[in-house]
Amino acid sequence: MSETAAPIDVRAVVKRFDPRAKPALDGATFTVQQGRRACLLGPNGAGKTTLIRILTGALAPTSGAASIFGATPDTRAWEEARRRVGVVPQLPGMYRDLTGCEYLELVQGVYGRGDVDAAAKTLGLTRKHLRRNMAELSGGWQRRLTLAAALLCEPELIVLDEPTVGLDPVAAREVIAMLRDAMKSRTALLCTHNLAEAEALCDAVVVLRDGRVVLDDTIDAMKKRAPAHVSLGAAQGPQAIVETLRAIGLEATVQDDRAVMLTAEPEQTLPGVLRALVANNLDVFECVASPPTLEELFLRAVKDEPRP
Amino acid sequence: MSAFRTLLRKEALQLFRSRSALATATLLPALLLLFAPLAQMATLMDVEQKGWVSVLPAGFRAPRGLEGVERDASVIVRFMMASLVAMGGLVVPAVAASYTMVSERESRTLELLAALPVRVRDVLTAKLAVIFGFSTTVTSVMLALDVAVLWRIEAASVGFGLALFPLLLAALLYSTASALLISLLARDFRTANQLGGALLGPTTVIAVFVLAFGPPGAPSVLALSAIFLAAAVGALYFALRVVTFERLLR
Repeated sequence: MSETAAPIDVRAVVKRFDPRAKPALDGATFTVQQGRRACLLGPNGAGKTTLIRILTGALAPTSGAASIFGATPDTRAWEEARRRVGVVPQLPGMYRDLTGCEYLELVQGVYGRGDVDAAAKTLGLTRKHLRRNMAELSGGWQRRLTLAAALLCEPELIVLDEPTVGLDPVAAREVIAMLRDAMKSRTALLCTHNLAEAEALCDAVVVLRDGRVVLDDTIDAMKKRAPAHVSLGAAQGPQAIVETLRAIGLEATVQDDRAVMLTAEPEQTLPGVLRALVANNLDVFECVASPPTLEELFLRAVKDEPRP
Repeated sequence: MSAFRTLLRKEALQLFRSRSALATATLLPALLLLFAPLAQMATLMDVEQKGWVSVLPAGFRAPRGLEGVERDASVIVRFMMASLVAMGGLVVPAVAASYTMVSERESRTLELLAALPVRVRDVLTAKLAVIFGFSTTVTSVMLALDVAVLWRIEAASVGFGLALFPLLLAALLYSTASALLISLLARDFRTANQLGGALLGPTTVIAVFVLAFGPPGAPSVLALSAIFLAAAVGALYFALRVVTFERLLR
């Protein structure tokens, strides 16, 4: 195990559950460097949960290698490397015959370190919560318990598999706030369908489709490459703006009473656009340039990539 | 404390909290290894006082394992004793282990354990070890009592009494290995029960066949122990190499 090895390194991983069916993972390759907070995105059946299970050692790849801190499950260094990782599984069941406290003590015993009280306190779990059977807690408190378990050992890397799925909006918001704290100063891999959550918590994106990585980049770099979304409003209406822009060789469309155009360099383009609109006697009252959302970038990446 | 010991502690805690698992692991062996054999032995003592009157038809030829049954009622007691030990060893861990393992899978709590730095193999081994340990303790104590009574009423030789212990252990091992296989194959209790019946039913018939048609006394009991051991190795190999733990997480 190397101290300088990337926390997550996935190399040409193929996972085939059934030799006759298409593989769940088909040569997936990506790296998550130290300190990076990456989100793993992809449509249902893309292979996200399979990839996480391979990373945690629960499943073995058919070919290729997935290592954490430079160690693969078939090496001696694996157990030590694995103890540096906290994992929040996707919608786990809760024991009816174990209390929250007993579960956290189990986690502490397995990791061989950690402070149950401190982890519980960080997640707002009181003695009352910890004394109850796990299955009796509400969904939000159950999720806090699994988060407390993942953070108990003060991991350097946390892997989260859809941590807010199934929660009501209030509970989901609380969990996201906790995740933001937990992911600070840690390397993280967040698997989610919620793009707003991914954008709020992560700085890099890995997009899986049909078991392949179709995008692996930082959100900043993606936003720089993608054109900004410019919304223009004028008293004469959006159609007048569209026609004026067309006259100077720019394309725009009408969306919700606004003219919308895409531009890669808004700082360069917009002053000229505004001058042209004003020169054509349009009473411009709004000009908003916004970077593309992660949702737009994701949809574009998934749409652009030809299917294998 | 090592990770495996922590898992063992969790399993023991859960076993002693589960009324159904405890009931399975104590009532079934009590029925098969205490009440039934002691009733047999009580009948034998009664028969010996009144005299053994064989009701077998003239010219009846007993199978090899029951040779002399027309003259000596203790032959049937020894045959029944070995059969009950085999059945007790087969049924108890299979039912208890399948119950706890399939419930872990059905309730998705296995996901919680798979998220920890332990291998699924260790999780299941801890489960089986606790159930095997508990079943072995409970059934061995009951068998020791039976054997003591057998010796006291002079219904069995020392060798036969001692041979029942490896038979019990081998049956428990086979049953535990079968439980692992069943738990990997079955996704729910219904399937687990069906598979359990399909696997253990014929095994019980084979066990009775070996005891009835094999050489009388300890040799048959030891031969059956060897068959159970071989079957345990086969079930374990099939579970680990062919079915594999991955099936639990698909």
